[in-house]
Amino acid sequence: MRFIWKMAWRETRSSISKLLLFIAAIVMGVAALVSITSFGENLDKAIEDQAKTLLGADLVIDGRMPFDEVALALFDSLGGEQAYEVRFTSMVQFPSNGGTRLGQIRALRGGFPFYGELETIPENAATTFHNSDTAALVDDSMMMQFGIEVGDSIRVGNVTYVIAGRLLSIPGESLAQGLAGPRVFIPESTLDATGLIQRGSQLYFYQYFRFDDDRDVDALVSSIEGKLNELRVDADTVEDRKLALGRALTNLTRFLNLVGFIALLLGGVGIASAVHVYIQRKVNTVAVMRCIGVSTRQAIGIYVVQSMGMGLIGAAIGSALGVGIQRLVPIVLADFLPVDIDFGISWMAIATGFLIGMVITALFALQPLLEVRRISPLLAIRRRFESGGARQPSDPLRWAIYAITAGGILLTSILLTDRIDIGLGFFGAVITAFALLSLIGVGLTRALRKWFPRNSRYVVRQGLANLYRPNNQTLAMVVTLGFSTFLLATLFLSRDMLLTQLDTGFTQNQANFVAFDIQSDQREGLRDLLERDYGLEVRQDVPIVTMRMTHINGVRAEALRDTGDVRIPNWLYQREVRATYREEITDAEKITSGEWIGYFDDFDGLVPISMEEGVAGQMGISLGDEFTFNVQGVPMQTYVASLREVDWQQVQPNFIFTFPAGVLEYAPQFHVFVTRVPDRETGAELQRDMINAFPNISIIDLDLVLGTVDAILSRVSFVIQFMALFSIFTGLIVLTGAVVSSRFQRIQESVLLKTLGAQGKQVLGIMSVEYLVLGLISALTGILLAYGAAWGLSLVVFETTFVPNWITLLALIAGVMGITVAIGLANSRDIYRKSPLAVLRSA
Amino acid sequence: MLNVDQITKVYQSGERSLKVLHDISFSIPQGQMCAIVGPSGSGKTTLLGLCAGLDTPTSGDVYINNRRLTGLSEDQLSALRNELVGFVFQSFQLIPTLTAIENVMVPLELRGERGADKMAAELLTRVGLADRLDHYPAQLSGGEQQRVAIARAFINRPVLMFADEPTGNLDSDTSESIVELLFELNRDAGTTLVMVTHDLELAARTHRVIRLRSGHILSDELTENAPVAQQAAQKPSESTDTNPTAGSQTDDASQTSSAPSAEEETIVDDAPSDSTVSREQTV
Ligand SMILES: Nc1ncnc2c1ncn2[C@@H]1O[C@H](COP(=O)(O)OP(=O)(O)O)[C@@H](O)[C@H]1O
Ligand SMILES: [Mg+2]
Repeated sequence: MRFIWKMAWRETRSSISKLLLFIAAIVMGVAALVSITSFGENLDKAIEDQAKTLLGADLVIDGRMPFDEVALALFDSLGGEQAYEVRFTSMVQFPSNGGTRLGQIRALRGGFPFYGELETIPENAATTFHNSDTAALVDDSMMMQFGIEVGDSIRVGNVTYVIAGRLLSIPGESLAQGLAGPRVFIPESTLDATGLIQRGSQLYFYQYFRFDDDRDVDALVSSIEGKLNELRVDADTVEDRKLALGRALTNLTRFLNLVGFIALLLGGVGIASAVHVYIQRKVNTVAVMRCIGVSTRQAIGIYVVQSMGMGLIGAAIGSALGVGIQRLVPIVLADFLPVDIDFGISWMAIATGFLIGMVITALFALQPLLEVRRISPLLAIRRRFESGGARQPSDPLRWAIYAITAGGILLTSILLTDRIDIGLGFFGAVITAFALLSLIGVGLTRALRKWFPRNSRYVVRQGLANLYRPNNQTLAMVVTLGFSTFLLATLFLSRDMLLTQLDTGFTQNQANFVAFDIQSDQREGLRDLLERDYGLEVRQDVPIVTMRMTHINGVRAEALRDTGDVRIPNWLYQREVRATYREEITDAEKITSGEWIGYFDDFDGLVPISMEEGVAGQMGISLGDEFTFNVQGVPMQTYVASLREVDWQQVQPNFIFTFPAGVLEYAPQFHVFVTRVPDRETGAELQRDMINAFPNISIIDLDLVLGTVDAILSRVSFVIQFMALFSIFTGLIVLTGAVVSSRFQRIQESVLLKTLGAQGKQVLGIMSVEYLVLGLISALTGILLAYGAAWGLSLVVFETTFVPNWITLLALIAGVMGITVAIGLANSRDIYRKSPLAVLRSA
Repeated sequence: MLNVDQITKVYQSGERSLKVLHDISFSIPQGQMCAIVGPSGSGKTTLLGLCAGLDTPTSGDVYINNRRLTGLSEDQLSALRNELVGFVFQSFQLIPTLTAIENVMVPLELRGERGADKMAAELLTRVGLADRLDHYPAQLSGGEQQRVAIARAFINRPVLMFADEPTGNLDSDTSESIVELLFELNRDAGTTLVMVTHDLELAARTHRVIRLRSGHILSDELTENAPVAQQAAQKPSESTDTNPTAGSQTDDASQTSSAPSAEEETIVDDAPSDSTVSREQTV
């Protein structure tokens, strides 16, 4: 054993820089794991420490209908300090420049948040707001979008407020949450004056509690559970919020960990390739050692110890780097974090990353190390005989090692995700990706060799031939660089695809402008505005009647909810249902079973309605089941006469429940108009005019949707790009390692060429061609796979035809080729500069 | 000491099979220095590899110290080599990542023996490299490398030394000093030597010359250098083997160099010409 250690050290000593470089392949992966795991630990701690500020209160009770006397009496009996909030979406307008946008309005009464603070600029703006009846706080992102300053005014419905401050953060909410609906706080006392609380408004009601008597809030909630259910409201405690947040953030860190793990696996591929080349160089040494009497086991031992030693150093460097990078993670994720993260060193994370790094090194080094067993001592007295057809007997141990490697990766994935199904899925996906990448890589390399023009210039031919030199690491480089390209390309393609899909609304003749919350008495006026002033066609005028679902098949919803026989989703239980009535089905709908009944006016009979098949399936509802609705005080008995499939992607209001014409015409109702504006400018102008004439009407146009999706996507892709960086760096390190380890060979080649009369420029040209082609193959490999992935996504997720953005892809290819050439040449600088004489002397 | 009993070696390359050694038998007693000569491709290296247990014969047996090599596992063979055998190679075969002294120490360290460094330093001093202990092979000349290799071969006090063209990669003067060193160390330690060479002058300085051609033993004779005891011990059956052409060969080494037959000419051609000339001058 001592002998093995001694020999391992002596072997390492002279080539440590070279060895370190290929072990550096795992550094980025380990760094990623350590930083993400540390971040996860710090996040858990932050959630624990800031638990109360997550909710901003000890208890929140929320409902979708105004709290009635029973509810208010219950709140009274609970005591403590209370605050009240009504939340809804509405258009807001900035009179200084006429800008309008759909915002999320929060009408607040009382001292919320009780824990934590509304972070604002200026700092005291929250106090100003609490003490004033005319002040508002507005999301910073929206103020920036419209170029609005503190002190400017904002109009919400019929009321104009002075902006007291920019809202930076709300306890327990992340920045990203405000992207879809920028938040605006207004005093609740002014709510009625806005005139926005009308029929059809979707309102959320919140009652916040703060208890100073240390009571057990969760026990309290359990004790009033029945009452809350009866009131159709929800209670949220700090504990609930912690759990929900923990779950969401676990998913986040799990995802990030897996992306980091990919970098580590790529490093593993680099290590396998490097160890393979290393062992090939050591064949003679091993043969001599075997002659002298070193046993196979000892010989393998020497190289195992070396590899593990290097793995140890790599993992240590990676861990140290990870601790540093950890500081970056909260910055990258800042938009998605509802808590402030403190920086702390987590030994647990360091140990995990370190260990996984070692395991991956061992797994990937094992297989090439096995080649040592095959080195016969005979090779010391004669050079290797290429025995043409003589096949080496298949090696059962090799397969065992493949199995161990696969098992190790699988186990690690399960360990990292803490879930067997996700671990398995990840493992399957990664193995498939690696297999496909290798296949494509091999295919492309072969094709290139076969089809490359033989009469091309010498420099080009030689550069290409270099990719096939003995002991080349072309495939390993193609796989690692290709994988990074694949990650980026898939990301870009998906994003492009999503945006193009949305954008077609403007280019094709689809509806792209929806106005909702239109009251019956506003219909004529709005129609005039659209048709006369703007010359637009109102494509749909959809009536909406709100109602509450009270019974299913004659059983009270409250009772059903208790027994759990029928799964009633929250929205159906707590909220008023929005239903429409019409004679025809729309283009976006298809009857899948039963019979569509367009007209019905027997007020004593069961009304035949149609239900969306997905929701029906989830609830376990089938044809003939009966629903009883309370339509603004009037009970209405219905049965499910048909099930519909709905294409939710079309810009138009869609409904779970539709009624036949004939029964709901006289019920109180409001309307949605669907139209198409020819361009963005017209849309913006129309919005302004509509808000001025009808402040309560909310508008969704495609521009807004596009902008929102883009804003969210760009933040998400920023995070993914950050994680992909680890893989990219790993790819570059593997590339560097491969270039450096083939240095000696390259020097000899280049010297030989120079002695034969080649110019320095030509040698440089040959190398450039080699790296250019390598970059091209890698990029193409990655992009081909990404193309396949994006095509699959387009079928399954986006349900759209896949039109790749060639500019993005070309830019990516150029980028990968550029970086490959840059790294390759940077590491070969002195090679092509060397004079032949100098090298002959030193060799 | 070394017994080779009717070994054949067949190489299978694709469909074709190539019989490289035909029914070779001989035995070498303790302390004898034996040369195996023959033209390139005659099977010398193959034979050496089989004798040292680096490869297994297609049929037949090899015994070292009456231990049968066939049937031993790879690791048992390794242990046996470490214990009994030393090697000197044509291309020196030092481990490039180890210094001279470390290269020499390896066989002893393998056994876990103490004082390896002292012994190695002594041996290196003896081969004239006292001041090069910490140099790497790349920093040594060919002759110096071969001296290190010889020191390495002797450090585990082997009973059997194999040398495959030990002077094949060296110029004549260096060759001469290397051969002197090898023979001297060998005599002092009483080691049995099996040396493959195509240098007939060199072969003539050993005790016994086995000529190989196309995998057959052409002749197997003691030279005038052989101790009397060995000459008496040699049985006639060993010199006249089954080879049909062997009978006519009766000339000894001194005749060979003065009047080469057609047979030997090919052998001489195979060796570097300048070394042959210089050898004639030294004889
Ligand atoms: N592994 C092998 N496969 C096929 N043929 C071989 C192999 N090793 C050696 N040979 C053949 O065996 C013959 C003898 O080779 P070798 O023992 O090296 O001769 P020598 O050392 O006398 O020059 C040669 O013809 C060589 O081509
Ligand atoms: Mg030979």
